[in-house]
Amino acid sequence: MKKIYFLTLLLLGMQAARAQDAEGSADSNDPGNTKFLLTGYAYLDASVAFAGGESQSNIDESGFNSIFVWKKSDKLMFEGEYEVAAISSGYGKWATDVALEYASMNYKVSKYLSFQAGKFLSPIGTFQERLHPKWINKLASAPVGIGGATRMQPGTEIGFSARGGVPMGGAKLNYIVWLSNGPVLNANGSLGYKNLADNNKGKALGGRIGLLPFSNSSFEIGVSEYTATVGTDGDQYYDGIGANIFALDFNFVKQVPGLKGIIDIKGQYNALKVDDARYFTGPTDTQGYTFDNSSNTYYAQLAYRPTSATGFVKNLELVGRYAAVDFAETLGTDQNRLTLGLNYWLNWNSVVKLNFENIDVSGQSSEQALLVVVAFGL
Amino acid sequence: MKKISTAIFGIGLFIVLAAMLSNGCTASAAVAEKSGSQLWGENCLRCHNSPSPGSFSDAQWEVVGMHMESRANLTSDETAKIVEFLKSAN
Ligand code: HEC
Repeated sequence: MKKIYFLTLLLLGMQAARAQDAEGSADSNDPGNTKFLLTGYAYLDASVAFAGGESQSNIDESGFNSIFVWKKSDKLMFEGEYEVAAISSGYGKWATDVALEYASMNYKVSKYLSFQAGKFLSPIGTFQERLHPKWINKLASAPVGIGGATRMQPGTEIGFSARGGVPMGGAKLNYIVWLSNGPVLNANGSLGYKNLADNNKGKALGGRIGLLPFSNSSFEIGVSEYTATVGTDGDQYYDGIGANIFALDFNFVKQVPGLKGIIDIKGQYNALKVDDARYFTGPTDTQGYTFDNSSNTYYAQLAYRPTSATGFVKNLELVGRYAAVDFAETLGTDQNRLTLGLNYWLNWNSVVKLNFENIDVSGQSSEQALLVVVAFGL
Repeated sequence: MKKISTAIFGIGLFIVLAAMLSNGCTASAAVAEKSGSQLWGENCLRCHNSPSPGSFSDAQWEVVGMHMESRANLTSDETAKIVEFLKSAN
């Protein structure tokens, strides 16, 4: 697999050189050409949780994400996102969370290829890179297993990538390949994704290919592969232990005249496999244990927005999503969630979301929650 | 499972490269003739609601265009046409 990737990068380099030749050195990096956009979004999350006949309401989080985009020339761009959030952490307590979501330098080599370097949203599947911002995600919560705390993939990565979109007759292909530090193996066999100082020499290699088979771009299907060394170099038990993530995603969005509105269907499947290794419950455990460290998760979402309606109704949107996680045994309890939502769009990127979520954790009685999110694109 | 997924991915990668290195990277005549407004209508609603041309100034549309070309892996030709349309209709 790694050979394929290196070959790819080599070929991309060749393509780059060829394209440079073809285009000559026409560059518009003259003084005064820099264009700048300050954008971003603000949000508020609130919830009422019902379990065992009791209910509890809370204003959970409010935050403000600033996005800076500089277009330095037709070839050079920088994008950065800085987030600040106030998160409730128990009665009367708030924590302030400050994070660099991404900071990525972009160089467009040719029509079909650009290089990025920096910190970027993980391009495995589509949820993280394309759909997670609060004003884009049509529901108040992220699909369990793919977004949020239980996700089976990195949220962001630090490294290099090459990407582009390629027309092919009536269809289109798009691709991204990237190299990053990759995740780190935790003591219980789960993966940690905040690996800014790499724990091993093996870099993570990832790729995604998207195909839009129809000329109206209404449908896209994507396949992602990600392979990384996650064990710490020189470790007696975990040196060389690797992990692999495979993802499938699809997206269908179309104005359907017969239904007088826009139908939007999205989904993603992730399968995560960590090489077999021996784990220990504590310093006194000399025996250790092993298990099949494979987990998977998926979600499917359907939304309808009556764009042909008039007045109030035109701004409404109905959304439903089913998400399920199947953890490797010892790493978590399987669960599924059904989320139903009603959105009111204030404009193209500001929305009030009201959701009902049913959470079924295997072996426990189900819980319900009402979720409210106000998201305001800037 | 791992072998199958690697194979699917490898084949996909091969197709992309073959398309890029041969002269296969051309849109069909019907696609090449599409107007900026049609491409805007078809592409900008795939991930989020489509912003109307009046949402941004000319200079801002150029930045947004470059940002979305990268984020959404749009082709350069369609992005250029969409940005031209948005700048002419704002
Ligand atoms: C593949 C998904 C996708 C497609 C297709 C897409 N966008 Fe976006 N768009 C995003 C994401 C994701 C963001 C949020 C960027 C962020 O938070 O970093 C965004 C943000 C924006 C913003 C906010 C400003 C900015 O640059 O972040 C504008 C304006 C925008 N898109 C316009 C468009 C237009 C116009 C098109 C059609 C050419 C388009 N988008 C197509 C995913 C997409």
